[in-house]
Amino acid sequence: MSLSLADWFQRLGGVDPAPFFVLSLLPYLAFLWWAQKVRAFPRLALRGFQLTLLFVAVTIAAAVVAQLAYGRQLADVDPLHGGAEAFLTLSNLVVLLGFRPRQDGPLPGEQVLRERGTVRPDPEDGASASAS
Amino acid sequence: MHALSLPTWWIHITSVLEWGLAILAVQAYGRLRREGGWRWLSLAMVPALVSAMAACTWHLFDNSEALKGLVVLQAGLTALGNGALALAAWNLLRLQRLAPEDGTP
Repeated sequence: MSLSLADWFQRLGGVDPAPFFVLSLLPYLAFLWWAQKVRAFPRLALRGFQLTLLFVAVTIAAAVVAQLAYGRQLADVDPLHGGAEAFLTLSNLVVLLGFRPRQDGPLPGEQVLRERGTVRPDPEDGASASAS
Repeated sequence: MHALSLPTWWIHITSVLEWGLAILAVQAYGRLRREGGWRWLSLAMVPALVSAMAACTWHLFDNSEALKGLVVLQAGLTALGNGALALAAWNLLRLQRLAPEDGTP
C-alpha cells in the first residue's frame, strides 16, 4: 500500500459524514431500550442519555436554519452552533449527576442487586445518617 | 480558532469534560456495586470522547474544508461508539438476568 496517512485523511474528507450520523441513531435507540430494562441503571443518568436525543433534534433543526437563513453549515453560525451544543452540555451534566456517588440508599424504584455474601451498610447507621 | 465565540468554546469544553468525568463516575459506580458490566459501559463511552475531540480539533482550525476528514472521523466514531453503548447495555441486562433474584444465599 502506497497510500500515506495524509492521503488517507484527504480521501476521508471526501466521504459524506451524514449517513454515519443517521446510522448511529439506531444503535443509540437500542442502547436506551436495553439500558432502561437494567434495574440498577440510575434513572437520572437514563434521563440524561434520553436528553441527548433532544440535542440531536435541536442540532438538526439548527443546521436546517443555518442552511436556509444563512446559507452556511451549522458550525459556521456561532449562536446557532453554541445554542444547539448547549443541549449536549445539559444532557451530559444529567448523565454525570446520575452516576455521582450517593451516600443515601437507592432511589425509589431502583432495585439493588447484590452479590452473594456482600454486606451493604445499613442506611440507619451513623456513617450514612451523618451525610444526610 | 475564531470560528467559535468564547461562550461557544466553553459550551464545547464543558460537554467534553462532563463526558470524561461521567466515564470515571460509571467506573466508580461499578466498583461500588461490585458489578463488572459497568466497566464495559464506561469503556463503550470512550469512542464518543475521541469523537468529540476530533470535532473540537476541527473547530480549533476554523472548521477548515481541508480538515473535513475530522468530521467524517467524528461521524464514524459516533456510530461505532453508539454500537458499543448498545452492546454494553445489552451485557448489563444479560448479567442482571444471570444474577439471583435476591442477594440472600
